[in-house]
Parts: sequence; C-alpha cells; structure tokens
Amino acid sequence: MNEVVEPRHDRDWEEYAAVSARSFGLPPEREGPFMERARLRAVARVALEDDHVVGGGLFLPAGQFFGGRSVPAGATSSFAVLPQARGKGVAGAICEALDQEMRDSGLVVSPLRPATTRLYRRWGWEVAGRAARHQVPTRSLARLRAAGTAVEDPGAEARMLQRSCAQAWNGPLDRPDWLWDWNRSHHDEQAITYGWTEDAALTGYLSYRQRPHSGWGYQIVVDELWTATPDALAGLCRLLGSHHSQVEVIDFEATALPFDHDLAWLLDDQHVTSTGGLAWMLRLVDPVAALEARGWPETIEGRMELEVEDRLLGSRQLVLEVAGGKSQVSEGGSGVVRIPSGTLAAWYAGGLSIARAISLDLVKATFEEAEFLDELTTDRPTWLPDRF
Amino acid sequence: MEIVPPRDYGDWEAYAALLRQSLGGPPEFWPRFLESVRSDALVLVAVHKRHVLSGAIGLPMPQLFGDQPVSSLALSGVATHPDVRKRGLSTSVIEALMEAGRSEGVAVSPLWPSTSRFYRRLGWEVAGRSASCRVATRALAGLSGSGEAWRDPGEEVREAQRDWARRWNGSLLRPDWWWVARHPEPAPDATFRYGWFQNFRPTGFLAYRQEVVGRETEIVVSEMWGLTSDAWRGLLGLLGSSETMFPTVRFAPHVFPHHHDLLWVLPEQDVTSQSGYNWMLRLVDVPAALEARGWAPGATGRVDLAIDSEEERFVLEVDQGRAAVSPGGEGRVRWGRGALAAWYAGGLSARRAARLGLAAGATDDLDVMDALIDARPAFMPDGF
Repeated sequence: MNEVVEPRHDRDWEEYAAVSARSFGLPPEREGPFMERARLRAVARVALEDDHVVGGGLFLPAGQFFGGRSVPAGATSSFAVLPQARGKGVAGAICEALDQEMRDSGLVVSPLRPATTRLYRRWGWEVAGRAARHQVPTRSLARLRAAGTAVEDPGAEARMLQRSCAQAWNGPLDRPDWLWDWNRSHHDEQAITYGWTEDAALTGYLSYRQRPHSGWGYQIVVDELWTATPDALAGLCRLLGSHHSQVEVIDFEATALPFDHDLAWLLDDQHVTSTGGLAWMLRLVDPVAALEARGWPETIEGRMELEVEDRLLGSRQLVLEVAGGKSQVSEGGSGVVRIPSGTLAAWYAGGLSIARAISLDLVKATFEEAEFLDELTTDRPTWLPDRF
Repeated sequence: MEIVPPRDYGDWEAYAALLRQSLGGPPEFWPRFLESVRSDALVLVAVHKRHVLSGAIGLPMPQLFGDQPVSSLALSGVATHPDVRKRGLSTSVIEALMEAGRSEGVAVSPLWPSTSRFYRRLGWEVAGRSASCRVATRALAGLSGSGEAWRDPGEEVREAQRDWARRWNGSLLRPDWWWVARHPEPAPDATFRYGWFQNFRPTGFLAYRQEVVGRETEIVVSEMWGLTSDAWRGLLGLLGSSETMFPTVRFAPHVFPHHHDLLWVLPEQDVTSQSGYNWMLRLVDVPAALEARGWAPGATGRVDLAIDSEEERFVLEVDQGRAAVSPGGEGRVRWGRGALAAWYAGGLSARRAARLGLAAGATDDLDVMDALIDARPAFMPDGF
C-alpha cells in the first residue's frame, strides 16, 4: 500500500465500488449505484497501491441519539479491502484516516454494523447493542384490536413522528432527510407505507415490502414500525395481520423492531421467533466531546475520575461531572476507573453496564463506582434502527 | 371430581404417566423427578374415581428480587388428560395450588410457560426472556482462564451458585432437593459436570450432555455460570476442547439471559441466538410480595396503585430500600395484575407498560415506580 487518500476522480470511486462489491459478495451493478449516491453524502478514504484502489471505507455524517440528545456522528460503512491486500495493515490505515477526518469535522461518535468484531475492536469500537430478525405468524397479528385509522403514505409527518419516537432510545440516527431515501435505496422492492391516526394526529408509521417467493402467496418484510401509542402499535400490526390469507409469516427486519421487542406483551401467546443476536458497535471518536454532547438523567448528580485507554488517542485521565441532565468533562483526576475506550463506548450507549464489564474483566472499577456510572446510561434501551 | 394431593402410589404413577403424555420426556424422567421432589413439593391432582385427570406441582423455593428472598411457589408439571381438556380442570388445580401456597405465606409464583395465553388469564405475565444460543465449538477453543476444571464437583458449588444468583432479579434460591432433581447421581449417560476452581474455591459450574443423532453431533449445555471472568473463559474453553468431534455447542434456553455475555467474550460474533423463551410471574399476594422485595439502593418514593380495574388499591411507600404497603390510596397508577408482576420482576418498566397500554398513570408516577426497581436484569436461570 502506498497511501490513503480521498477518492481523487471517477476511477477511484469505480474501483472502490468494485472492491466493495467483491468483499461483500454483491453484483457490481448493485454496488455501483450505491457508490454514486455515497459520493454525494459520504466522506470516503481509499487505500492505493500502484495508483489503484485496494481498499476503502466511508462515513455518513448524521446525528445519533443518546440520552435524548442528538450527538454528531459519522456512521461508518462499506469498509472493504481486496483479498490480496488483506493482512497488510490497509484496513487499519483507512480506519485511522477516517477517524481523524471525523474528529476534524466535529463528529464525535461512530456507529457501525460489523462483518467482523475483532478488527474494529482493535481500533476502539466495541459491541454496543444487538440486532435480531423477528418472525410472527400473520394470523396471530390479525386478532389484535385498536382504536384509530390506517392511512396510506403518511408523507413528511411520519419523519417528525419517527424523530420523536427515536429519542426514547440510545442509538437511533437523527436522520437527515436524505438518509430516508438512502435507507429505501437498499431494496429492490417498492416500499409500502402506512400511518396510524388517532383524533387526526399521526401516532404510528409502518413501512414494508412485498416480496414474491416460490411457494403460495408472497412474503412481507417490515423495515420500519414506529408507534407513539398502544393503539398505533396494535393497529399497524393488525394491518399486517390482515394479509393472513396470502402471507404465512411476517418478517420484521432488525431495523423494524429492537432486539428487546414489545411483541411478547402485545400478542396473546408466545408466537415470536427471534433469530440473530448480531452486534452493532460504537466508537467514541472524541471521548471528551462525546461525553459532553450526550443527554443524562436529570435527577442524577455526581462525579467520576476516569482513565481512558485508546489505541489512536493514547491514555487520558478525565473527570466526568454530571448535573441537571448535562455533563462537563475536564482533563485530570486520578483515573480511578481504568477503562478501554471500547468499553467506554459500550457503556455510553447503554449496551454494557460497568457492573457487567467488571465481571468480564473489561474495566477496572469497583461495584460502588459501577453503581453511579450505570445509573447514568441505563435510563433508555439501546437500539440502532438504521441501515447505512 | 375432587382436587387432592396424590392419595397413594397409584395416583403418583398415573400422574407421572399423564405428565409424560402431555409434556414428553424419556420414560424414566417424570417418575424420577416426582420421587425427588415429592417430600418438599406441593402437588395436587384432579381425580375422578380411580382416574387422575389433571395435576400440577408447586415447588417452594425463595426467589430473589432486589437481592432479597421472596417466598415463591414455582409452578411446574401442569397437565390435563386430552379427553377432558378445555373444561377448566387445569385452572381449578392451579388456583387450588395457589390458594394453598398463599395460606402458607407464598407471595409470588414463577413458571416457564408452554402457552402464555392460558397463564395470562390467571394473572401471570411475561417477566423476562432467555435465549437458546448456538456457538461453533472452534470459536471457544482458544479461550482459557486462570484456575482448573474438576469433574463431578461436590456440594461446595451450591453455595457459589447462590452468590451468582444474587446478580439477577428472578433467580431461585435452590434448595438441596433441586440439585438432586436436576443433577441426579449417578449422572445419566453422556452427561458431564465440571466445577471451576480458583485457589481451591469454586467459581463456576458447567453441566452438559453429548448428543449424537446419526452423523450429527452436538454438545447441549443445561447449566453454566461463573463468578469470575476466569471461570467463564475457562469453562467455555473446556467446551471448546471438543471441537474435533462436536462442531456446535448449544446452550439451553434458561442457561443465558436474553442479553448474554458471549458477544463480549468471543473475539468474533460466532454466536446465533434464538429467543422466544419467556418466563412468567404472578403476584400471589401483592402486599406481601411488595414488602418482601429489595429495592434500588437508597430508593425512596410513594405510589398509589390500583390493580385490575380499581378492584384493589394499595399505597406503596419505599424508604431506603424497604417497602411498606397499606390498603387504600388514590389509585393514581392503574395496572393489570400480570403487568404489575412484570414490572416487579424488572422485566417491564412502568413507562414501557404505559406505552403498551398495560399501565396508566401520570409520567411522574411512572418514573417514581421505575426508579424503585434495582438495576439487576430480569433472568431466571433455573429449569424446573
């Protein structure tokens, strides 16, 4: 490898698209349009060898909700290296370049959906949450009852509803408008969207695809389901259930329902099968700025001295002070809690408590220190409901 | 028809046959299980003349909530003869069992349901989830921990298990008969047990069996826990040492919580989990259950509860981690009895219950309720 640069011209982008297609086993005709769109929105870096692209990675600037606040984020994606260039430090060099670029752009956290956890762990990401695909027999949804009305294609109002619902979680992207179109562009099938209204107010949003399959009927794959009321959840699930004469099972993508979904309490019997358990990971690109940008529980006040170890940023002693739902971070302190930056990121996301990290040897802290730290990030469940 | 404890050997034998017909299992399992629990369990059967038509077992075991033992009757072995199903027999047997338990001070009842619909009608609700995980054995092969594995450990692991149980909301404080019933001596064929010891102190336990069906082989883990990171890594490494003969290791549903630790222990995401295994809880005596539980450290607050459409009203007052319950109050937060049990277990927050229409009240009151529950995850690592 000679250098890591911003793609210089069309040929670099085309070669990057080819590397990506090869790495992910995708047909080149599919990855090409993806990169065309990426050029407009993403920040990319490619590794060159003899003036040709042998690897690349990109991030999409967006916000990411933590503690109810939108934290500037670079969503990392399309990380790929040609087979013959692997094992030579290419991925690490791209990682380092993107990391610096994110920091320079004021983006302080970076989520990703990894193909390998080992590689990203080395560069400071850690497992922050999980994802699973859920399957429900269509008939069991048909029995639900709800007050309200389904409306087709609810339009831009759905985006406001989604944003409002997303803030109740740690991890959803604060989607710019273009990311909505971006998400849909991953599928060949046309998205069908419905809203749920109660007293003329939009309280739910559903997006799904109908997919032909070889047997009888067809398949339904749900990409998005956002609801603000119990009736919206039951009503939109019932709408899915109304397909029972043609569709045997409804597939909920990991973007549609969290790992800890609500269906166990909504359905009258345990008809949900969840499979997967794959991870999403988070890195605190700028730990100080990330800690200050996050929202915290209003009622908790306290102070903790941390020593954060990071392969790219070195070791830093920080004092975290939280009060009134906000935090201040300063350099210094005695570093009583020694924590790798990856573990800090998983805790930050609410996906890994410090108490649990102690028992897994992922942090050096006492259970008393864990008690305070865990109160800070467990007020909301963790979920990344976005594709990128 | 009458509901009575098994009257004689014939009733026990007939109930064991009914259990096998309804719930499956090898021929020797249910007679052996009933034999090991009969002197401690509360067992009732519905009989007509010489026939056992239905039955259920209540296993008295304290259950930990907020690190405090709560008097509990674990419901098991609910079975009704196919000829007489849907006539309310199971309901009658279960209610008789719960009434008997209540009169002896039982406050809660957990179960692993085959159907949640039936038990929900009787006041149980989904309190927690667990997952069945499958891991490629080779992914475990590189793991190791300080300490050593000892085959067939003695009773010293029982005390260590109690320490581990304190980490969860919902684990049972297993009496000795539980160990005899679940881990009988001698161990059945192809079943193995190991303790993990560090400085001669037990810090972990593993029980598994080797399954061979035709050319398919698999290790099935029925129990595994560790007090230390070394115990976890050491025992997982021990499983990994079978990689040449057994390509996969499957962890039974109650071994790991829904949010298992394997994603942080394994270098890669070599674990596939399948969930949908829920455990349920019923508050048999609401005031007694609330007063017995431990609460979040330093938690203080008052909530006026109304249960089952205002049928019952209570005031719950928590001060420095202890609760007092008195009848009456304004009923400001309305709950179904089952949903309240799920909140009690830490499996369903009050905010979430409200979002699902399972509770109703002002946001401030819901937040007070959620602040009372300690941070321990809801998990019942006990099969019964």
